[in-house]
Amino acid sequence: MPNSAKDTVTSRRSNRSALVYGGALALLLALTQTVTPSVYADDQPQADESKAIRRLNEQIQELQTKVKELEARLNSVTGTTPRAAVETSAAANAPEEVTPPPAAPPSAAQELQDNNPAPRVMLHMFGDVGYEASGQKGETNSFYIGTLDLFMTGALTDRVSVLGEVLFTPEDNNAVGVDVERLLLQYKHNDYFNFSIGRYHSSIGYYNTAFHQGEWFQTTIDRPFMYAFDDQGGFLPLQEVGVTINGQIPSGNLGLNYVAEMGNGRVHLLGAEPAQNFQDTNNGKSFNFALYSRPSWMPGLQTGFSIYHDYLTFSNNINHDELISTAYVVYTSSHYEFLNEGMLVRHTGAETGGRGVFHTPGFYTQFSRRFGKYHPYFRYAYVNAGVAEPIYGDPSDGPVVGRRNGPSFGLRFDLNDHSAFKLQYNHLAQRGVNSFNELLTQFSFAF
Amino acid sequence: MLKLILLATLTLSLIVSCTRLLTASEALMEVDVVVNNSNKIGPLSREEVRRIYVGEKSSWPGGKRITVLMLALDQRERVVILREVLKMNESDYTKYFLQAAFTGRIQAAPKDLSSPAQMKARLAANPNAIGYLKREDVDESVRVLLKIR
Repeated sequence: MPNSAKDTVTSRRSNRSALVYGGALALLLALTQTVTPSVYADDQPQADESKAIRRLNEQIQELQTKVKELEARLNSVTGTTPRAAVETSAAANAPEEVTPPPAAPPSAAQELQDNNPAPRVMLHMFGDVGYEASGQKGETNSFYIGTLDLFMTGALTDRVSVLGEVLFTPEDNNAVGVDVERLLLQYKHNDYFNFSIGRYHSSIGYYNTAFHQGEWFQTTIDRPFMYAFDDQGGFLPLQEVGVTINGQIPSGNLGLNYVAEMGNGRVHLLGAEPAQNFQDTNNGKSFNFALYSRPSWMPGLQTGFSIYHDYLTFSNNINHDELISTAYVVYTSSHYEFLNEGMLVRHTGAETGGRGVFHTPGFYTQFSRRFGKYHPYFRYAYVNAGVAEPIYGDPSDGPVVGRRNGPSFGLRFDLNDHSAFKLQYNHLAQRGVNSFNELLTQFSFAF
Repeated sequence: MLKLILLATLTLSLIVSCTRLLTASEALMEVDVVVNNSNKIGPLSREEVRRIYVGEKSSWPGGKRITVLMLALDQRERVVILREVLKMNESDYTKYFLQAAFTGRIQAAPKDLSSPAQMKARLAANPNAIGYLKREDVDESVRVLLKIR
């Protein structure tokens, strides 16, 4: 018993001494944290830099000797080498890091070169592949290739540029179709006025302006119902051929921006070519106006609305008035994505040419939080087009929109800054069809 | 048991200290946002500099286009600008400019320069350029618009 008591005392003492030593060590580490950074921050890099400079100077001397030898050889061969050319080559060989040039007077040539780059094309490539399993009757589980997207931009002058986007899209019959998704000639006058003409993605709501065809950009695998593209059952005029102007509105901290668009609109048949590329079916043009705010007092917040109007002309010359209103509040940051949008489509005129007003509401909410390379997300989407809807409800005119609603859960994993793997579960309920589940995977990339 | 806990605490503290030491060099660095000496623009706020760097403001008050300059990936000043002004990390920055180009808002990301000396030379040559330098690299050839830290 006494031995046991002694052991306990010894053990307590050793614990106490360990605590004291540990505390002292922790204090030392804390001091190291506060004192040493300035030492480490400056001395080591300076020593490295001076070594590097010495090494580079030696290399320059070697290069200069070689250049002189080459000059001598060249002069002996040609006899009349222009001096300026040799000076240029020598200058090109000298690394700028070693000898900072003296402050030169502002050069108009450099300014011109910076602001008027020689016309060249910048090419980006986006794509995705994956596997999807669906519980829907008639659907088979399949591997698939998504859209291969070639995106090009080129500056003609400092104010005029061209944007082009060509898609290679797999179709229902397993063939691959080619589509000019966007082709825009852009003129940027200043931050308050930009003008573009060509084929573009209409500024309806937020999603269609923030996310285009490149699946890599969006957190989820697919788009919300209301922003689905035409080949995926979409029904909004998301693509247009026409003109668009946009810019900022001087508004201080409110950060207001506007977009005004006028285009051909689209044909009334869903599932047809989404934009009238060459010829409009009527003389009436579609108009869209959007206004949004990005307040500087809350970076990442954007809120706005859009109003779109067009006349859809059927083959029997019956005109249907189409008015699409959207409103949204979104917040995006490094770690969070919270998107909320609602829409209301209003069509007038019954299919038979009689009177009638038909409303189609829709909304979605999407939330994602980033944990390192992982982005778990949730979305709920809803759209409800009436059975008698003249544009969205007639099966002879294309796919029926009907009612669709359901949640989606998923996880995005960023493999690096240019590729991501996504896994998503959908539960979809539709009017007149049994609800079903889907499991989707996707590997998407961007270069 | 207590020893184990103590050891784990100390190890954790050591790891945290080392990590902080590694990032301290950027944390202590003082960076100035600068323009050519002939550019008469007044001091800018962080928000104004952020708007210029993300392409939301593309011209000076006189109407001249702003040439935005960045230092290359391996430069420590870049980390300070990204974190303190743009509130982004390198991944966010890459994605932002790829997306901005894809939406047609901008043509390309700011020009990357390989060294502060190159930055200084470019600023000296272009009166409409904006860039940044470590405070000890700042001299009379440039004008400071914003001091960071």
